[in-house]
Amino acid sequence: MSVRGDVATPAAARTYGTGGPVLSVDRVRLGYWGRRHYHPAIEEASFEVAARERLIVIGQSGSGKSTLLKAVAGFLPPAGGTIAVAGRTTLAPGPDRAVVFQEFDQLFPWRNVLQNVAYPLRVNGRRRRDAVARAREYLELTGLSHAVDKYPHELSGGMKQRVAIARALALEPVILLMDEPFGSLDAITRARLQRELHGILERTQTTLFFVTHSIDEALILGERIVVLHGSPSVVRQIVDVRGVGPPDSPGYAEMRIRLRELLAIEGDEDGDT
Amino acid sequence: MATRSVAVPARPRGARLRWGRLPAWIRYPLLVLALIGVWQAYWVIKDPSPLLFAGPREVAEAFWDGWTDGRLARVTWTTLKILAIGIGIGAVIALLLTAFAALTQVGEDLLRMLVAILNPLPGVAVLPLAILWFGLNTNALLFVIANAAIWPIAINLDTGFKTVNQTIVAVGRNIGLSSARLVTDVLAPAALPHAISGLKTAWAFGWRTIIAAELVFGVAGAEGGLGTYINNAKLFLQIPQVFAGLVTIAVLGMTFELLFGALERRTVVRWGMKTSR
Repeated sequence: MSVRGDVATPAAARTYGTGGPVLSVDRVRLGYWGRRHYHPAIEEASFEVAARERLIVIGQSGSGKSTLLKAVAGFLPPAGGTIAVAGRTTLAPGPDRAVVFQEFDQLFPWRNVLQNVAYPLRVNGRRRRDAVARAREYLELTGLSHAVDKYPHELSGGMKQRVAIARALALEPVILLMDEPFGSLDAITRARLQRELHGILERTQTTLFFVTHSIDEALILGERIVVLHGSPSVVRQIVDVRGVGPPDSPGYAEMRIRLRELLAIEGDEDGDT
Repeated sequence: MATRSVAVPARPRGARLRWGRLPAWIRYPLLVLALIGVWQAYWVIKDPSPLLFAGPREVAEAFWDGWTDGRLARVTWTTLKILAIGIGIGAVIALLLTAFAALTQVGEDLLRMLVAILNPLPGVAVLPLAILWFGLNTNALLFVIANAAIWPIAINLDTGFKTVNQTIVAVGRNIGLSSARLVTDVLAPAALPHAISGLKTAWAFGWRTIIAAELVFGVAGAEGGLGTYINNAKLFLQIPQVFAGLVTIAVLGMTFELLFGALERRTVVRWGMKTSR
């Protein structure tokens, strides 16, 4: 994937306020209201994400990790506690927290690849020429320069997710939210996109909040890992994985075992990652 | 529409020209010619009374004369105009109803009930009432056509709005769209496939209704529309003219089928939201 230097001076490199955390989750309780009953998803969670940091939230299915991302994105108000982004606690959905979803159909089918990336920029006040130029830059960053004229239904799943990533990055969010973006991809494509995303994020210095159930994905992409456990869940531990080393190193294997224990995974259920 | 992009196995050597391999613009005209051939054969062999039937040649002449002297053109225009206005009124009411249904439970119940009551009613069934209320004039026709058009459009739009992909709506809110722009920029195009099929059905229902209504009571304007033309021709036993009116209806029907097909190919088919047949 080609990466141009001029894209790499971005948004996440800007400073926010007094240099406090970009995202602060403070004693947050989350759940859904059914017809009559409240279904708790997260008992209590507290953590912070610093500027330019890549934080991964990991948990088994039912641990409420996607619910947590929805709350940060502003789609779901917390039942208790506060979520603050760059110091603000009133959170309606907005492009400062651009989201990449798991679903392949998150692109607008009636817009081609270039328009899918440029349109949100237009919505947020950029002039057409500027929006298109920026969209092209980010599509080049995600290796899609050859596909700008294609419509989403003409793309593979992996390419669709690349477009979604380019669209979110082009908005230069304060924090980029990703909800298992590679969860529906085949193993080979997933591994490639994980590596590429890692390179892109290094370059753009984007602050990341990434939700996954895959330990390997968390270790490849993350700097710190929040482990959710139980259902409704609590934060079991926050693990710093910056010094862990590459996947073939002893440190990596050790950390992998530790995370499996924290997630209470038995047998080889995580073998697919 | 007519072209299929299915992988066809290689033709065995020496196989004859196959029908399916011909392009659509040859296949359909050939079929039309064949039909006219059958018609002509019947005309020649059975020699039916010219007071009951007309041959292709006479009908072609009547058709040509009608369009060149402007009479058929005028009545067709009258009918199309009333039809377009009637469907337009119906579409606006259908849009309001479905918007109301999308926003409130009362609206949803109301829409469901009205559809259940009024959709099975043939368009012309309300014509006697419409004549009582509005008199023998264009308004009565508009009322009947609007009623025929509302329900297919409302049913389809309702389905369209209800089945919009929620991930795309979430993306729309995430990129900062206002509620109004969410409707125009996301919900509307997402519901377009259903809107088009609603319009197609409304168009077909409207056609049948207006022709039937005009046959029942002709006058809309000085000369009336296509249905009136046919009815008058029958009264004066101008059988070729009766057939010319029918042919006009058929040609218009095909034309609109082609127009809707082209519209779909440029939009929903191109976007992969609907597969071409």
